[in-house]
Amino acid sequence: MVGARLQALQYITGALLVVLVAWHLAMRIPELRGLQSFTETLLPQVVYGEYTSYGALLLLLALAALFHGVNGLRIILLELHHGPIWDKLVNAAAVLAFLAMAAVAVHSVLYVPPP
Amino acid sequence: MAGRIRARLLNNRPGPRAWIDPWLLRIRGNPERLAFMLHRLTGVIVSFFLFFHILTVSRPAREGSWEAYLEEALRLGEPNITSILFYIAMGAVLYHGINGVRLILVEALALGIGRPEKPKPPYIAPSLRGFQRLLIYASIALWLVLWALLGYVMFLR
Repeated sequence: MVGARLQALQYITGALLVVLVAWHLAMRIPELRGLQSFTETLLPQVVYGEYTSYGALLLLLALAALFHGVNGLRIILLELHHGPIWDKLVNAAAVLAFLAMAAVAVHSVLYVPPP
Repeated sequence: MAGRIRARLLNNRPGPRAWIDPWLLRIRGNPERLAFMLHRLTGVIVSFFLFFHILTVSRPAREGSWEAYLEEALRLGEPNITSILFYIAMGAVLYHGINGVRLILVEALALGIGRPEKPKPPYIAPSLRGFQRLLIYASIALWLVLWALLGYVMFLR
């Protein structure tokens, strides 16, 4: 039952990520931002503007991508090898990895300093 | 004897070797398997890139300064090992996303599944003929075009 719910979430986050990653990549196209080059879209002032204007959206992107990525790796590892200890280890590592990276993502959005 | 058993086991459970070993891929005449293998491989690349990306963009918040971030960001605009690795990761992101849309269309919206039919020789799976096969080729073509465009935006402008 938990596995089925996780798989459903894998599909939901996947569909969500198609939209959010497309938006995230579009932010790096200079013409859409009125800038001259790709590197200009990465300048601290521009990136800080994104953090302050779309912080919640960036956080949603990070959390959805983390869930999708960590759960995907968990599925691959569970398919590669079988056993009760292995299953518990992989599941625990997946939860820890998600929580640790999510904490870093939340911190980087909330505590970003102005350039 | 042991070698033969090992070869049989390897054939049935090749593990991660099947992702990169051309003799185990068995993709000839089977674009769906190629799409699946690429989806897994790019998924692993994207996952590790995501961890790296989150750690990189968190540097200003962790260090309280944008200097180290700026140094790394400026390196992405010119051809070097960092920008080439970034470009490969972006290729993986694009493939995983485009093939993901194809999978949602086929698996969730049943696009190109067709009606149930009696099996008739030659036994070719519906996913390997007609619209679904076309969809796989279209997604690979779209991926290559978008990846090339990204290369133009990153390195040639």
